[in-house]
Amino acid sequence: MSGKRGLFVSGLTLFILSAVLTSVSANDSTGDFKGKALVNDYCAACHEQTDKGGLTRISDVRKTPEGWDMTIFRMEHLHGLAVDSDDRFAIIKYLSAENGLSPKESAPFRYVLEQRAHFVDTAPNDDLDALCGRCHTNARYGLQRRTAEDWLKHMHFHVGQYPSLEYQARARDRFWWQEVTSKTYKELAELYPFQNADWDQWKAAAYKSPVGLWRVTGHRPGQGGYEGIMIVSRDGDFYKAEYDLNDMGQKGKSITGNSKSVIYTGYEWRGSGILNGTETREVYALSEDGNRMTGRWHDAIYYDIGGEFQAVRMDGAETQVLTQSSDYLRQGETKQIILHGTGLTGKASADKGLGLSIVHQDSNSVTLQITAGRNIAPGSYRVTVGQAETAIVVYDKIDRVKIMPEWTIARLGGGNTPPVSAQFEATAYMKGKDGDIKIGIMPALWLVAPFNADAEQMKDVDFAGRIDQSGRFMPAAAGPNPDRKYSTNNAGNLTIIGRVKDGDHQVSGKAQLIVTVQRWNLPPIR
Amino acid sequence: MKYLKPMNLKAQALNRASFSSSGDGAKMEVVAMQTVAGCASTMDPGWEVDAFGGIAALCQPMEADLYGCSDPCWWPAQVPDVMNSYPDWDMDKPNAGADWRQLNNVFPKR
Repeated sequence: MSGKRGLFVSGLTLFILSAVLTSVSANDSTGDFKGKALVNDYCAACHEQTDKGGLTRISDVRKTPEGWDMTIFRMEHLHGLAVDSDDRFAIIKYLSAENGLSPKESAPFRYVLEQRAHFVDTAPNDDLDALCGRCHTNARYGLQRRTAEDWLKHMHFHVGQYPSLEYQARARDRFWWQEVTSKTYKELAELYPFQNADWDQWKAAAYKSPVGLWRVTGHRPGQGGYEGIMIVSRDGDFYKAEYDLNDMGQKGKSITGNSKSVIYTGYEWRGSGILNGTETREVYALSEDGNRMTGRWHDAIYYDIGGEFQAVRMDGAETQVLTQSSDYLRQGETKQIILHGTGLTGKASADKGLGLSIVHQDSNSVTLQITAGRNIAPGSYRVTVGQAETAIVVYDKIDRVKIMPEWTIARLGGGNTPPVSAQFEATAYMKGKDGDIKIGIMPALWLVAPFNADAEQMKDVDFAGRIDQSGRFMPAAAGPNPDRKYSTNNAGNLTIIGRVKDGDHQVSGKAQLIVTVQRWNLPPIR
Repeated sequence: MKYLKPMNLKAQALNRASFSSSGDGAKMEVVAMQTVAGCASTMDPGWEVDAFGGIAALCQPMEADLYGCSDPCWWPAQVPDVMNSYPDWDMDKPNAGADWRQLNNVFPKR
């Protein structure tokens, strides 16, 4: 396997919605009919009909909604297609339904759909990493399905549209064009085949409605967890979500808002919303049984700022703990820990060594006063509420602190390009019999240092930006800086240090942050 | 490097660092040679991070050679290529060092 560090960064997710939400209101059956008619109207002039009744190229490809959006953008930009936002939306919805990806096909690559700025992605092998991964995330091609013939056309398109590919694709190391036109396209067709029983099955399945009451839990890196309720109702072709959430990291401060969303391909929830006055975007996947949604929401402009999202349908939900206000306590410590979940009405109990009393209990949350005995062995202790089970770690000392992400980039911002910050968190570990035991995320004192001698010589720490005490590094302004040698940019190669207090001493962890330049090509799939 | 040969000292040094078995010492030498001054001559630095996992071998400031990237379609996924795809991207912005604030993202915001 070949690793490619998360150089996909930046940009804005597909939100067809914000442009078109207000005006489309066909029901599902007429939507299919309308979409098909529109594809014929707009596409058939150039894309001939095939023997099988499809359209050349279009019918040989399957993609995500974002992928189809990018295709239409390319048709507009390079081939003069003129399509208004209503029709554009209907075409994307239709193509995502007819030629989309199944939940299993998109699952390995959701990080790019969810705009995770700090993900480190991995290519299936070195050749594909070199061929595709030097410019794109490996999700870019992993989220496409083509016939072998169409993958071959894809090679021809690339060398025609981007001729310097000749120099980028290890041309100096091999006869790359000969390889990609005789071997690689077949490899891609095997890895990402157009024909797939899983897709056939998904396409024929009866899709589930998201309408109902949902128990929501999540985590905002640097800010902590949140929990609450989401009510989803139908709104024409769309869905409306109302959020009533509490920020667990800020003493229960409420987070309220709503969103309007569409579901593509039976499971791809894409929403535009407002949370506490901030415009947001939502990228969730509805589970195949329709009882769970997972994904990420983010700031509409600053995609690096957002939260993990999990929702469980409350109607018929099993008894379960979904998140908790803290994962740990120290030997001898007494702490209130709130468990959040569904059906939490049962009797609370804990493994021997933990003292337990209930401060408050309802079906969604249980507040427990937990005491760890001074002499109990460090390790993981089970806490149960009825049939629901969770674990609390009791530690004696912190042996190691890991900073996550361990390696990432931030981007300078300015002009028409927003900055991309980097959010770090410190996770403490202790030694156990079978390896390190994760204690949990802890507050840290955050510092920045030069990563190497070059960074020290160039005083990167002074120029590249600043880290706040939530662990968020905000890069400095873009553009040449006359105060730097060679008027260089405020780029930098930095070590991020997180120091976690443990009694009367501190335990440190380190990560590497490259503060780098902006980019101007920001499609939803990089 | 079977089919192309490095033509200048920097490229030769990079070649030695990348393909010799002498390890980090050689790499450090190249990094030191390339620190900050102008664009790297290697064929495949990343746009964001150089061939050594840092930034010292990148073009700095990037604006000094930005149009040298967009004109020949060099990093087309990061920098709009004006050769084929976005011929007007740098229209009326002749000096990247002074005009970079006016450059637009090419994919529309949704």
